[in-house]
Amino acid sequence: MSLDTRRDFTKFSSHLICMFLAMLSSAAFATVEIDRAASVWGVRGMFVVECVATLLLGWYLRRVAMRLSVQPAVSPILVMVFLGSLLFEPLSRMVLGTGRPFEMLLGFSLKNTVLVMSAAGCWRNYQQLAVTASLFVQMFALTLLPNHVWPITLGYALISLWWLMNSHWEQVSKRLGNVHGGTGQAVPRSVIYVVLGIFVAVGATELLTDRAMTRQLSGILPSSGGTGEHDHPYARDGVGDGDALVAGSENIQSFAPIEEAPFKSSDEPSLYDVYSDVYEEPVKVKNQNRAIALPNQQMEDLCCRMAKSEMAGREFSTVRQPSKSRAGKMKDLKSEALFYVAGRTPLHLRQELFDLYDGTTWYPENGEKIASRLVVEEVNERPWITLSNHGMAYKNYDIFAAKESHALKIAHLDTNVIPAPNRLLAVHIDQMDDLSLIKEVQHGLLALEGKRIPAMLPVHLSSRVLDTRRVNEQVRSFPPVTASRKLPEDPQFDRVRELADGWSQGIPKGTVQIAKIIQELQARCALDRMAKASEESNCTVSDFLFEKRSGPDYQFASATAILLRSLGYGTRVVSGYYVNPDKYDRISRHTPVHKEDLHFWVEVYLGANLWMTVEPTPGYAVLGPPPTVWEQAWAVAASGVKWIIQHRWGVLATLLICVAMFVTRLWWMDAARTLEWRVRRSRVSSQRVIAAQRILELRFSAIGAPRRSCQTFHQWARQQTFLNEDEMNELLVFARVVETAHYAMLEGLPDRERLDAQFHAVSQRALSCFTLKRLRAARRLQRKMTLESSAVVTA
Amino acid sequence: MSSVLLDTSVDCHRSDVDCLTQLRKELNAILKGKPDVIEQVLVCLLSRGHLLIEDKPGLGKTTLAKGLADALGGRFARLQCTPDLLPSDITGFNLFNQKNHEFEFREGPVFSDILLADEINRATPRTQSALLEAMAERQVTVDGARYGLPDEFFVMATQNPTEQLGTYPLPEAQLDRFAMKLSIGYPQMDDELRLLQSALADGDSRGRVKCLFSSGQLASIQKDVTKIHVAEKVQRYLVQVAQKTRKHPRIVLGVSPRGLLIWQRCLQARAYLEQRDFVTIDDAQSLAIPVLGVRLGLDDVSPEFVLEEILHQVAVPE
Repeated sequence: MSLDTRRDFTKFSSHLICMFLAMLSSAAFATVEIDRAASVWGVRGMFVVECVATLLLGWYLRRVAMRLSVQPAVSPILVMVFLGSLLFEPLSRMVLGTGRPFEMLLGFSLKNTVLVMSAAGCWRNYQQLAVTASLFVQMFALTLLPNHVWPITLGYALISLWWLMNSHWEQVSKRLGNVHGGTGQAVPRSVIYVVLGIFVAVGATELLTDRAMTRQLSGILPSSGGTGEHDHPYARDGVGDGDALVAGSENIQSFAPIEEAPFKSSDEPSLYDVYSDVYEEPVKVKNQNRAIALPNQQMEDLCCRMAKSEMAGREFSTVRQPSKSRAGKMKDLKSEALFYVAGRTPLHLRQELFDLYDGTTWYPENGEKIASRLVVEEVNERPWITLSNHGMAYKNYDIFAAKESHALKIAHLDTNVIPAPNRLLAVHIDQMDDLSLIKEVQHGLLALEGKRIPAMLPVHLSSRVLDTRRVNEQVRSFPPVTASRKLPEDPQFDRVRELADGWSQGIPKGTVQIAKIIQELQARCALDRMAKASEESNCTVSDFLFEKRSGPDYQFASATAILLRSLGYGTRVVSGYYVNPDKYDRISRHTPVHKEDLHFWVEVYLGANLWMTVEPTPGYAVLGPPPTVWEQAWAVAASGVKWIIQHRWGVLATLLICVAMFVTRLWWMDAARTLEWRVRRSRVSSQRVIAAQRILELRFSAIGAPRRSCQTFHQWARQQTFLNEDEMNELLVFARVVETAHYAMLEGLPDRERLDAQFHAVSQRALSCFTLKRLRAARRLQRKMTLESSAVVTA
Repeated sequence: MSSVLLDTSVDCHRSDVDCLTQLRKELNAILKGKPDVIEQVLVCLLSRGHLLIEDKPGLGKTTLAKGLADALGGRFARLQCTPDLLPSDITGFNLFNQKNHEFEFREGPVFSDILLADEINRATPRTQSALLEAMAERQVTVDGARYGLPDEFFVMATQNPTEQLGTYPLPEAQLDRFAMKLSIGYPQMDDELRLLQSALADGDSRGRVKCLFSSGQLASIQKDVTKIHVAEKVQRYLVQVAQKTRKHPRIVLGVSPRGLLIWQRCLQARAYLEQRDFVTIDDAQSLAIPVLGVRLGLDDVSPEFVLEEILHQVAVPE
């Protein structure tokens, strides 16, 4: 490689640092995206893919740069990356159902461009531009999520200082050495001052204020939320999303999805009084539950915020009721869901426990001994009502996964029992630290005072998930409680026992045996929600197992409970709600629970007040421990392979097309450039000649005969000895035209039109004469002749 | 004219073109096998610069100078420089005329159209400096009186690179007055053979060239040369190269602005000779070594090596 081609070529170290800076800013942006992403691992995976792609592209471009003397046009690629990222958004919204708010979309596009730009950092101008743009991305991410991004920013600041020093010394060494003759300019001191100034300003703003910088810079930077008109439901903040979101629009009682809303009662005149005169009153809640009196100071703050919310939001419910029927009820309001669940699913939320069975009916055990003691504990300055003895009992066994947290957002639920998962540890309702408002009605089931749980109430639940892989020993070692083992004294149950014995023969007691029973049951009976047991039957389980062989979920639950009891297990049937993961709404990050999600399942006693959820109904699943990284990676890989196999023909075709496109990429690029040259006739003739010259140079580069930047076109043309005489003459004629286009004074020539025509004709002839195909053929011929002559010499 | 683009070719008179073509042919006939040297001599002539030929004796320096003088139809003077040569031997001197009791100025050899200063480095610095004014300003000052030289005044100086004893290397100021420095070099075998054959055939008439230019024709051509267009990107290239010579670690003295101006004029002359009305980077690169090489102060390195390196570093403007 000649010296001149290294003019704007940067050292490997600064190129690598530049790519690292771009990846750091990308990491900062990914952190912001994770904050609201439906799939955390999706964002992380994308980040890893982007980093690997950037490094590979950087490596490739560096190799290209070593080979080429002419700096290729990277800018069009950058523009394409930016526009492509923008165009991906509508596709993502339509196909994947996910999207980004406007400011995140711009950030995303810029971030992608920065990554590609950093890969092209082997050329000085792109490197400097990439670092500057990555700084912007970094600052952008910092303003959106300062608490999470600042460690990355600190690292970014240190590495960028390193880059500045490295770049500066690179320039200095070039100037002192003057052998490689860099023409780039050293980083001016003012740039360092500006960068440092920005860091100081950001740091000071972050330290001196206690609010997010999004609000500090409100109106300057683009932000989500606001009207929610265009970016909803993809907004990051604002009406469309929030920590305690319930379908807030369904109940005017709540102005916003805030924790305090259910307890808010204000008689202050507001906008709604005015509207009520005109449009009549909105639906009001008649039955008011007991409420907690908030402290005075907090009430003032709350009222103040609520008033602001009213003015800013301009909420107005279109659900109105006529004056005559003022007795409108909550039930009159349309509600899609009973409540919403935030947290991992599938989830079984218990409502009622049934221990006793008389052959047709399940009953709760009367006078069940409630062993729990409710205690209020402060966690992060929030009151949690803890079922104290549960925690104590669970601590002794190593059969649990990590603690699980769920939040329920009650829309309207006609019960005062809080739907809760098995092995509930604690419940948190904001501001509620009065134990007289809550009590344990059944094992692990809490109920609020009053007839029903107030609408719009967020309830946070903490529970422990059983790791079924470790539970096998526990099932065998603990004796069952009495009530949960009772079987009706009916000869029909002998058949059931025989059936259970038959199914479990040879299988030791434990989870494996339980799984075997469920497997056999599901193989024997089908789920039919409309099927009813025979009215004359006095043993529905026997009827279900031996006669109908189909039935709804409670039949499966009953049959399983009885089958397991006949094998000696302690079981009970539980009714409640099944939180179906298929209903998960990725945008709101909640899973709605509807009436039809009412469900029955079974719990098996493990001892020490521990019950294990067993799901006998086909199509339902029990929440397991969170998957490990490897399990997730394996699942992703397996689903990827499965998808590829399913779409094998499409994938194969795409792969073939990609390979074909890659192999013929030079041809395509040349065709596009030539087409552009032919189509764009508006530019002046000298520019057209220069454009044709560039196309020719790129064609010759493609066959390994590039023009060095210190060579004139004419000198280079004379070196193309592999051309025959006619071709050489043609090239030299074109070279003369190129010289004229570059250096001659063409303005004011009398017969300019003729000259333009001549320029065009010569350029077109050159482009037609020196096609990639012909050049390759000529090159091959020359190589062949060289080989032959060298063979002759050797011989 | 062989130009592809007639419209952009230089608007020169047919007679001028013919004269130059004939001159090129005549000079090639007397200095066989050296068309590049002839071309550069013509460039130097048309750009109104002076020429320094550094070469061994007997390679045709004088023959070339004489032939050129004959072709131009001007006066030719030869100056054999020795250490005892005085400035007045070059410029001329005032002689007291006893008849009319007045001093009369006797012109020296410098009052000619073409002056061949043979072995110029043998003259003392004092004598060499007598040529400075003549070369730079085309005038001489003797005893306070100025005497103008003809417009076509053209100096061809020679120096022998092998002999060092008793020589006085030309100072940088003197070198900067020359437009370019050339080496003729030994001819090829075929050319030498033809030389011997032509010596037998021509006899005494060898080296004689008939006058080709009319009076004032050369001055007119030299004026036309100044009208050749130099694009800004070419000028930028020249400046970049000049700046590189000033920053290069092995160059003690870089190209001066005067050198840059001379280089540009030479490029115009070359373009004229190739019947173009614009200058190209090819012109600049082909004349860089003869034009810039003469005026660089170098640190024990050949000008060719350093200039090749610099030309490789500066990108051709697109």
